[in-house]
Amino acid sequence: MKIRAAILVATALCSAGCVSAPRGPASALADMGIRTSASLGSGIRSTADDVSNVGVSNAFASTWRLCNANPQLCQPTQADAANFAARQKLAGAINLRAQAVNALEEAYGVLEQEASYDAKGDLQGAVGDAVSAVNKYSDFVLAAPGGQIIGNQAGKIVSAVAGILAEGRQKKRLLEASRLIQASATQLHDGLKAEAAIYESIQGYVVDSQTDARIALYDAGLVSRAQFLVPMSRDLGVDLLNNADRTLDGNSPQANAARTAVVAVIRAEAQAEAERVRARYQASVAALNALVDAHKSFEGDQSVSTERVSRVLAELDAIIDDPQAD
Amino acid sequence: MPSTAKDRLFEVYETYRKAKESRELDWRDATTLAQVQKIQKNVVNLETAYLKAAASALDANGAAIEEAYESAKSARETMEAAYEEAKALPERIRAVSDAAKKVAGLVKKASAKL
Repeated sequence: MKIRAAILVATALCSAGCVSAPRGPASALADMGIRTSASLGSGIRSTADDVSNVGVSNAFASTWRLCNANPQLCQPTQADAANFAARQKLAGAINLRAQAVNALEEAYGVLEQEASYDAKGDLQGAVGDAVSAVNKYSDFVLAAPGGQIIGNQAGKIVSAVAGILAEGRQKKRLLEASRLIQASATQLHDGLKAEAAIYESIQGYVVDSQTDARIALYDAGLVSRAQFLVPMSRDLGVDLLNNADRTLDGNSPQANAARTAVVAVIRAEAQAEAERVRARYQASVAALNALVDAHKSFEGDQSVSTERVSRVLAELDAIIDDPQAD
Repeated sequence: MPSTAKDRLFEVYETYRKAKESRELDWRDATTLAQVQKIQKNVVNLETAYLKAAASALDANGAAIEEAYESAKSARETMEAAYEEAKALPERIRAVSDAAKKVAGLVKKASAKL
C-alpha cells in the first residue's frame, strides 16, 4: 500500500510539459475515483438494504409491543401490501444511486487499466454506462428539495467523442475520458448535495426503526442485555463482569434500574449513530467534490494531486471505522 | 413563509413517529380486536405515507400544498393533544386516523410523482 501511495504522489509531478500520454496522473486519478466510488457505493447500498429490512424488524417490534401491552388481544401484526410496495419503491430509488456509483467505479476501473497497464479497455462502453446510470439517477433527484435541473450534456458529449475514445491517441483518449467521467461525477455530486435533507431523514427513519426493534428484543429478553454496554465500557476503560447478563435479568430494584439505564444507553447510541451516518454522507459528498476538482486539474495541465481526496477519504474511513458503530 | 419540502417531509415523519410511540398505550386500552387492528393500521398508513413522501421527495409547491400542510400539521397537534389530555381510546384512534388521512393528502398533493 505504501509503495502504491508513493507511486501516486510521484505522478503528481507530471504537468503541462507532458508530451506523451499522462498515464501516471490518469492512473492516480482513476485510483482516487475507484476508492471514492467504492466507499460511497457501500454506504448507499447499506441504506437501501436497511430500508428494506425495516419491514421485518417492525413486524417483530410491533407484535411484541402489542402482546406485551395486551396479552388477551395478542396476535401477529404486519404491514399491508401498500406499505411493502412503498418500501420497495424507496429502496429502489436509493439503489439508483448505487447503480450510478457502480457504473462510475467501472469507468474509473477501465481508465486505470488503460493508464496503468497501457491496456486498451472498453473505455467508450464503460464511460457511456456511467453517464447513462447517472442520468437515470438524476431523473429522481430532480424532485429533491433544492434540486436543480441537471442537463444531459454528458450524454451528448459521449456520442460526440465516441470516435476519439475508440480510436484516438492515448493522450487524447485519457483526457476525453476524464472529461466525460468528470461530467458524471459532477452530476452525481450535485444530486447528492441537493437531496441531503431527504437522505438524512431516511437515515433517521432507519436508525429510529432499528432502535425500536433492538429495545423490543432487549425487553423480550431474547438477546444478551449486557452486549449493549460493551462499547460504553470499552470507552470508559472498564471490563464488564462475565455475569453482567445475570445481573440485568434479576428482579431486584438494582436490576430494574440497570435495565432502564441500558435502554437509555441504546437510545443515546442511536443518536450517535444518526450523527455518524449524517457525517458519512457529508464526507462522501465532499470526497466527490474533491474528485471533480482533481479531474479539472488533470484536464488543465495533466497534473493530479492526491492529497485532498486522500484526506477526505481518510475522514470518511475514520467515520466508518468508528468503534461506536460496532 | 411557505413551507419547504424539508418541512413537509419532517411533518409527515413526526406524525408517524408520534403515532408509533403512542400505539402501545392505545393497545393497552383496547378491548376489541377491531380496535387493535385499527391502531396498527393507522400507524402503518402513516409509515406508508412517509415512505412515499421520501421516495417522491415532495418537490411541488403552491397554495393547495400549503393548505394541505397546515391541515396535516393541525391534525398532528390535535392528535398530540388527545394523548396529552388523556382522551378516551376511541377519540385517540379517531385523532390518529384523521392525522393519517391529512398526512396522506399532503403527500398526494405535494409529491411531484408517486
